[in-house]
Amino acid sequence: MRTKALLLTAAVGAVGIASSMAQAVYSVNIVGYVNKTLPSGLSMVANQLNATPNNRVTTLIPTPTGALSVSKFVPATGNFVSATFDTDAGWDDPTSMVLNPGQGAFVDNPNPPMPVTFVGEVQLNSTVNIHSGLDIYSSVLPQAGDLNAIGFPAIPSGQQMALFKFNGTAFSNFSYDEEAGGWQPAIPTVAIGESFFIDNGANPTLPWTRNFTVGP
Amino acid sequence: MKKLFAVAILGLTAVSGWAQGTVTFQNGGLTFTPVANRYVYASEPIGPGDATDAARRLTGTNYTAGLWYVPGAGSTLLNNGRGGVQAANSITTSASLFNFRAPTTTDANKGTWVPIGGNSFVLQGINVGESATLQVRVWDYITFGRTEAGYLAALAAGGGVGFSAPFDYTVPAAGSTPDKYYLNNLRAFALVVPEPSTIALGVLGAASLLFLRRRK
Repeated sequence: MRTKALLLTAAVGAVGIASSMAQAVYSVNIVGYVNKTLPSGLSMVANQLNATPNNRVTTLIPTPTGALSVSKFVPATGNFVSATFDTDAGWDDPTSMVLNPGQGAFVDNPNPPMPVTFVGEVQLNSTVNIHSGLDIYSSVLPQAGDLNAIGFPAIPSGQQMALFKFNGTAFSNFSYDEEAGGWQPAIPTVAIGESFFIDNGANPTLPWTRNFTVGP
Repeated sequence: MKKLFAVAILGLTAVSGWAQGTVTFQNGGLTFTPVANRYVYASEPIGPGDATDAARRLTGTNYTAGLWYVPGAGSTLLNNGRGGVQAANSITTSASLFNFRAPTTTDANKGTWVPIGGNSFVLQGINVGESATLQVRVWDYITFGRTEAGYLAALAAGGGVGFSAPFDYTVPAAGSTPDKYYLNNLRAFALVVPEPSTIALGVLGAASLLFLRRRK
């Protein structure tokens, strides 16, 4: 999968010089796009930009080039809810599915690899609550790398955690256990636009907080 | 209709590319369904699996756990703790054993093994959608050796060994959630404590040896 992410504009705008005291007012945000190719078959996808006017799946991928289904996990039921796109009928989205940064979903593309582009604003300050039990998560920021590189929180002593990445055919399992020396068999790495399952067992909620600043 | 189509695709895509079944070999730190006691105990009785019985759960890095299986659900071939095929770790593609924890571990982790090197085990010959009967076996590998022969020697000696009741497992389809790969049907079990008559026989044997040595 070829993923290209380019943060286009660090719109650091000096709106104006306010007064003779030379106090500057800045409007600071980051907008950009992420090009992602959805492989044939199943993949776990994340939207890591806040789109306009919302992050509904029908906004993020308004016109797929072929049939597509997006399935989001519902921890309370342990099942998926789906939004499906049909080239004749358009989107069928009974749950008004939203895919915010930090969340993720299974995408099923029955066609050849399909390029999609996510456009929007980077969420600079965020907290994703990794609750007890199983759910799908992603990095709020469009960053690739291992869990340390994407600012994943330290797991409290004595707690275990499991992370599952989907490799196209099956899950790659990663388990965290302090007495095993940390993540096994290795610290997980994630790509931009990729989501993954985490099972936080019966542990308390673990906040994953990111604060990212740009500008002066 | 479209939703059904999408769900079918989600369930069936990539099945063909995932021939061998896998299972997540871990008995703690995960969100199992249903909630049940899956701990290993050093001795009977098996408690409720809460803080009240933590002291009786198995600890000790001299103990190790492995997974054995036979094709088909409901098999009775493993009933006496013998037979079956040892499951291999999906990363090392070899037989794999996980040791238990030091007694200083937290109460929640007592009675669980430490997954080192990847907790995804392959069930050779058990394909997606097919079932197998599994059994967890635990023994003192320092005393008896770290091979299946060591386990059988421990079993013959009648101490420092235990095995779970055989339980069914069906390999989930691609697109299933990770918890479907858990040892959900595993239930708590305890190591075998030698019968008093066995201990008495052992003492008698040792005394006989001592007596014979003195006569010489």
